Amino acid sequence: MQIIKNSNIDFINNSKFTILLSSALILASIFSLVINKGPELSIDFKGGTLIAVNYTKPVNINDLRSKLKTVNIDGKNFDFSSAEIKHFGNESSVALRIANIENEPENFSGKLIEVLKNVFPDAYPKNKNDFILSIGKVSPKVGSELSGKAIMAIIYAVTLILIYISLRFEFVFAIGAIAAIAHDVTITLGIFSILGYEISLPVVAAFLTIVGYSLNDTIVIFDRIRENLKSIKKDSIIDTVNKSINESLSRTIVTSLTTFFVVLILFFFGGEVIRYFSFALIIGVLVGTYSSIFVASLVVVYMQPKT
Amino acid sequence: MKNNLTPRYLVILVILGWSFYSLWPSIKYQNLSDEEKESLREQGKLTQIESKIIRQGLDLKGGMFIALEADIPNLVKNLASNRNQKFDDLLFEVTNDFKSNEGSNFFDIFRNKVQSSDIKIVRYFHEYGSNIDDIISSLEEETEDSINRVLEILQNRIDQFGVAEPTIQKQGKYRILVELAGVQDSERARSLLQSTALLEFYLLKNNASTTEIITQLDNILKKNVSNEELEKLISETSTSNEQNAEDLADNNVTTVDEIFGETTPNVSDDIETKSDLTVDSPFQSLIEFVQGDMVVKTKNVYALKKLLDDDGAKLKLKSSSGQFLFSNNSETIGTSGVYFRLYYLESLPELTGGVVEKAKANLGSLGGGNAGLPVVSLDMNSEGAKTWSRVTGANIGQRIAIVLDNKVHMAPNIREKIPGGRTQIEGFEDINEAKDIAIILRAGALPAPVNIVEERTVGPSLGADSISSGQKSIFIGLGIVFIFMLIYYKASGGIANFALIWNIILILAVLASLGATLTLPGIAGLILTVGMCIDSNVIIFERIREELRKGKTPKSAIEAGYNRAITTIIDANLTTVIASLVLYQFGTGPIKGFATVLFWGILISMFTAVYVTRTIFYTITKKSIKTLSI
Repeated sequence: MQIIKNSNIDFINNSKFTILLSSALILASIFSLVINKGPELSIDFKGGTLIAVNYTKPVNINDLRSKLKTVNIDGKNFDFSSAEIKHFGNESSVALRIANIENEPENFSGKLIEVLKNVFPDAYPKNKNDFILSIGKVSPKVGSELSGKAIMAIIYAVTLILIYISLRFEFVFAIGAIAAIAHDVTITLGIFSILGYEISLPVVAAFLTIVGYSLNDTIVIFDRIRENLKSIKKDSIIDTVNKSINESLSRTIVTSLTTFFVVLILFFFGGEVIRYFSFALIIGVLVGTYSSIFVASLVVVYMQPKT
Repeated sequence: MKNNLTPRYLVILVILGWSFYSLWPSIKYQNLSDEEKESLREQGKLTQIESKIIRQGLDLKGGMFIALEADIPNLVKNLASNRNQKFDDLLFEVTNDFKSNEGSNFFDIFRNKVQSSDIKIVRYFHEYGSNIDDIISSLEEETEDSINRVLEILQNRIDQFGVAEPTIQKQGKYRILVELAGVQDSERARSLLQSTALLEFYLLKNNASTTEIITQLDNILKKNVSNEELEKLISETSTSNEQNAEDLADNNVTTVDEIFGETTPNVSDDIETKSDLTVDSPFQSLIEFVQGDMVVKTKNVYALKKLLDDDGAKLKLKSSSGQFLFSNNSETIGTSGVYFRLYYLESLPELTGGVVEKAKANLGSLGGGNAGLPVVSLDMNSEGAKTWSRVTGANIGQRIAIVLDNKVHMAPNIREKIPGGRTQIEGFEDINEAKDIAIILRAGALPAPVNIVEERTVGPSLGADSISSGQKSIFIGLGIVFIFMLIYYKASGGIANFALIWNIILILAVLASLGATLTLPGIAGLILTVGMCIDSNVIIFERIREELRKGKTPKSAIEAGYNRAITTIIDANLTTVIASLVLYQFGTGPIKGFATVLFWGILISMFTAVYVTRTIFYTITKKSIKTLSI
């Protein structure tokens, strides 16, 4: 069986539509990021408390919100009605995210659990262990450390990969690869921002994986270009690049499809904890495949010194 | 192409054998029943097995991760001698700067502040050096020492707490990471770790000086706190708008005249009286008296603490060398609500917990006042026993407060001189709390308070969910990939699938031999590796197809296909290896798990997807075949 046989598509000269599409996506992403004042960050980077609990029957979010309007902890009143509250996987589970508060009471997360228990006493399971799904608490200091680390990780990864590509290929290829990565990460960030999904540590890991994956795709095509540049010298750069993309098209599609299946299943069956992680990977596979075909090679063609 | 495939077979066999060898303990462990595990634990063999198996991360198993950071400002404060207001002010400023500038170094700020002010730092740290540089470096050393001591003490506490596989390690200079897998009661574990366990014995001030300080404080506070402010304080703290019986009692305050008389609050007091009282004596308006003890309504505790935090009040208390401390637990008194007791104590302790030699939790013996209640019995060392007998001997008839972490556990009357250094602490909620306190007292007090800076708890049910959904995704994902490869590449797809299974077994084997931890992102990494592994085979197969189309024989097409694909595969995979190494370097916990799996997965995929499949193709094409199923 074969999906694509001897394709001969002129990718480079028909790039008007893809340039338009990419520009539109990037502009929309940047626009959303600007009006939302940057990406929505999780407690991993902002600090705060995230609690997920499981009631025995479905609970109404608005109901819970109004019950959290005045909460007394250690004799002090708090208003958690503006906190982020949503269902966690199913109707009877709830996740509550509270930003950092100054002079946080001692054992804040433990006391919040008590509060959540008391708002719906008849939906409280017999056992505390069945009630608490997860607790996450990050102090602002650790949060800023983690963001620092995440930014460093992305910078290091990208730099090292680019050094590697520059060594193995030519510098123009490294520029093509940078363009593709920037394109992918901007759009994925933009989609997260438009959908209001938050960036957590696992999502950053997914971003780095996207970077790796997109480069993987790009390099397979670059490899072909390099090979064809050596063997067929008479063709123009545009023809060579077109030929290379076409030759590796079958592989690109097969690999992308299998990887896409796999991450799609991860998204649907992998559970609530890694939902955003797998979502980032889905977007990454789609955008990464697209950019390796339409962005990276195009940049290489236009950056190639004219001789 | 080499005709002799024996070396290839050998390599594959050896790796196959090794992977089963390293996976064996994990398989064995999986099949152990709980009783068998227990008996192995008793024989001390379990840890040996556990070190060789794939461990499940906290996110899969349930449990808690806590990052603790020593309170450096407090530690430095404790190290200073002859502290005065000037020093405290400086330290306060440094602390504020330190807390608002994330990632800053406390000692750098401290040095700058000292140098820019006219404070003579040697005065407070003469034991640590004669100039600022010496002092700072010895303070830094001292701090690090203290953290190591904290680490040791926490280790002790956790060991006695009884968790299956605790890990406790230092991160950086001032941070301690604790992982408690399978911990059921996160709250208990948290207080066990965080409690500094500072045990102190204070004499109570007598009634006359207590009444006096209250009046004096009110005189000061009356000037500083306006009526509205106090009203606001109180309303800020009251639970809901007064409708029930409990709140009726709110308006009722026992005046100072009633101190030693009535214990039942008088419900008929009206609001006006209260307002008058609030203006004239904000402090007194918040306290009531029961059986000679001051008590404070739970909801007024915050307001009272705020009053005590007033600068004038602090100064006054300092000059009268006294302090107010609350009781450990709240209690319901009569029908009028839930109260904390409030004690007025000497500011200096008679004795501290350093003298404790043994601490044991049990239930109070029959016949005593605490029969059946959880208590902690203490034995003191000889020096402590001497002091204890002197203090108790000299103060018969007075009350002494036993204070743990600034909370009064009990304040008994001294009936007679206690010579042997034995004593009991009461006032625990249940026997578990008493047990934990005993553990903490035995392990020793922390040299500095520690703050929880990061906490992640995963409930066992969510962990179990994650495992099952992880497994489900792996099986479905593999299934789809298998079917796709078989349809698309026929028999060759089967070979790729075979390599894929190998890839997964080998990754697990490597994880087991490294004693690595499998986390949920790790499972995701495993699934992603499936994609990467298949990619190598796709690249190879597409090349072989191309070569076949050029009219080559299967044999030479395979040879050419592998040779040409290999550089592409290496280039493509190395970039992902770089990304995974960086992730490993910068990531924490779960992310590290992801990076580990990704790293090994890619390396192994180069072996399985290239080396193993090539050997299989060579074997097939040994007899020359005319067509290749690809």
